[in-house]
Amino acid sequence: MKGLINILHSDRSLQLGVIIISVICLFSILGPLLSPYHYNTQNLSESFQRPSWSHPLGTDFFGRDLLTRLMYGGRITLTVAFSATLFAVIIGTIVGLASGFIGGWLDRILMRLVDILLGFPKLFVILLLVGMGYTSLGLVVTFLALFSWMEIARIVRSDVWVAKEQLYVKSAEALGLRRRRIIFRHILPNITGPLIVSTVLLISSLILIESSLSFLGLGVQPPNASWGTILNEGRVDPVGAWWISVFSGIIIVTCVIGFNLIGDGLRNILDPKTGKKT
Amino acid sequence: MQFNSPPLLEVKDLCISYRKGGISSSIKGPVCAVKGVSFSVKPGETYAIVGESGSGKTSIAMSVIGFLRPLTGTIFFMNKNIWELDRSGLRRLRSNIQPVFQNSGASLNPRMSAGKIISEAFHAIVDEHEKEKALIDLLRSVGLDREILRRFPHELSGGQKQRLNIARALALKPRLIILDEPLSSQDLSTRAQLIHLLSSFKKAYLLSYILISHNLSLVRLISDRIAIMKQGVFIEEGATEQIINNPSNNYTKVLIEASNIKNVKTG
Ligand SMILES: Nc1ncnc2c1ncn2[C@@H]1O[C@H](COP(=O)(O)OP(=O)(O)OP(=O)(O)O)[C@@H](O)[C@H]1O
Ligand SMILES: [Mg+2]
Repeated sequence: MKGLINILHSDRSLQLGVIIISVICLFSILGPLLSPYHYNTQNLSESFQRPSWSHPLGTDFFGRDLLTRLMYGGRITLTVAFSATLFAVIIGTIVGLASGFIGGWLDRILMRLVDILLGFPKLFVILLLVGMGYTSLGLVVTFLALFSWMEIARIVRSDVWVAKEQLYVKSAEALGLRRRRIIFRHILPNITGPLIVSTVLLISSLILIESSLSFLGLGVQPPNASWGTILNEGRVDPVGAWWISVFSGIIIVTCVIGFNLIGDGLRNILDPKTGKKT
Repeated sequence: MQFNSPPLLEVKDLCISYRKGGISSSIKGPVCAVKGVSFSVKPGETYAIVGESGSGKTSIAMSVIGFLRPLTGTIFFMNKNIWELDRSGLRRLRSNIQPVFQNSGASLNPRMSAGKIISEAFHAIVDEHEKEKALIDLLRSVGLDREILRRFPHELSGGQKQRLNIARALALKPRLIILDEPLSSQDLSTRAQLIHLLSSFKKAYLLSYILISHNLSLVRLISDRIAIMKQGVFIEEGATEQIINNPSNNYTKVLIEASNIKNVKTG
């Protein structure tokens, strides 16, 4: 715990990013519980209200409180981004470890697969799949993960490549330890730095992709709403009801910036060339 | 020493190249780091390989431990050709050959405590009680305090790190330990202590050592035979006293001059 606080203090952008993301997470998790409104109950008599005391960020066409909707949308957006990232990191790490440690033909096949998948325009392919009607939340998460693990795999592979030549790995091999032990006890713990950084950056890029999908009406479907969905609802009257696009845009951008700040901060701290971590 | 017994390790015509195929290698032939090296090590013997930097000493060590596949030549250890074993065969054989590298810090996993590092070496012992006892005995024998077990490698001194490396190498009761410049990053008093330690183990366990060094005066203290290496080949090999007192090769004479053995008796 003390170590964690020290790490936080050692980098300004990390500090700022953590504050931003904590606020957004609290806002999304607790907000809907505290709000007097329901995110999806319509009240047409309050349609398109400007920001006011009773509706701090105004209301949308159906008279729903925008603040409540954004807090609720945060849950969806963050859940989608976090779970897709989790799956992508698991797949990417396994592929990277196998490719880097075992090498040979397995490495060649896996890296060819990575090249091929990286050749696809990610957003376009996901759009196509979702456009074909595969729109459930679970499927969106799956598609995002399936097209995001490759960068992770590459990073892990090249780090493993370096780590497995280290003398402590050679010493462990000389003891006759099993491969699994060498990979998970000696290699993986020593490559977590770059992995954590790319994980955080992946979260932010998936938030953007999920928002784009939902903005196009292809991601999260009503009655669920993500930030992208809400941004899209602002298109009905972007000038008259500016607050919808503006506030949903602001929160998406802030969240992406927050994760990028954390990623950059962690990179400064964890990078074996410039920093030291105990 | 059992000089009449069959060799523990027998290396024949070893050639090691770092080039892997490619067009240029087929035209000019591979560039070899080690060329036609043969030697054998008997049980209980300390065999030293001495040579300047880049002469190929570490490359030989890496091939003998099974990390670097030689281009040609054979390496027989305990009557098995180690480069013809499958992965599990090599893994079983490995516990009998242990390395101690020059860079004591780099040989220890920075994310593992000393205790973890050393107890991992006892992976063959299942019984926790027995393991604990073996560990304590081993620590005492290399002169390490129990208290360091909680520490991480960066919290240990250079000498402590190298003692830990030696302890790890000894844990599996190997037949052969390859010491690749084990003392060159240590200060003089630590060197003396570690040399003493190494020779005591040799007697206690009938261990063989391959001692790699560029320092003749250090090597002569504990080795039975010495090979002089230059640019990938052995240029002279013989019993320690013969090499020191009666070298036949000019390069060996230069090395002896340089190491001041004649003047300083104990190196
Ligand atoms: N990984 C490698 N890739 C390519 N060439 C290498 C590699 N390792 C060593 N070499 C080359 O092989 C030759 C022998 O190197 P080696 O490390 O065996 O020498 P050494 O006798 O151990 O030297 P030192 O005393 O400096 O440790 C050198 O010319 C070196 O440049
Ligand atoms: Mg060397």
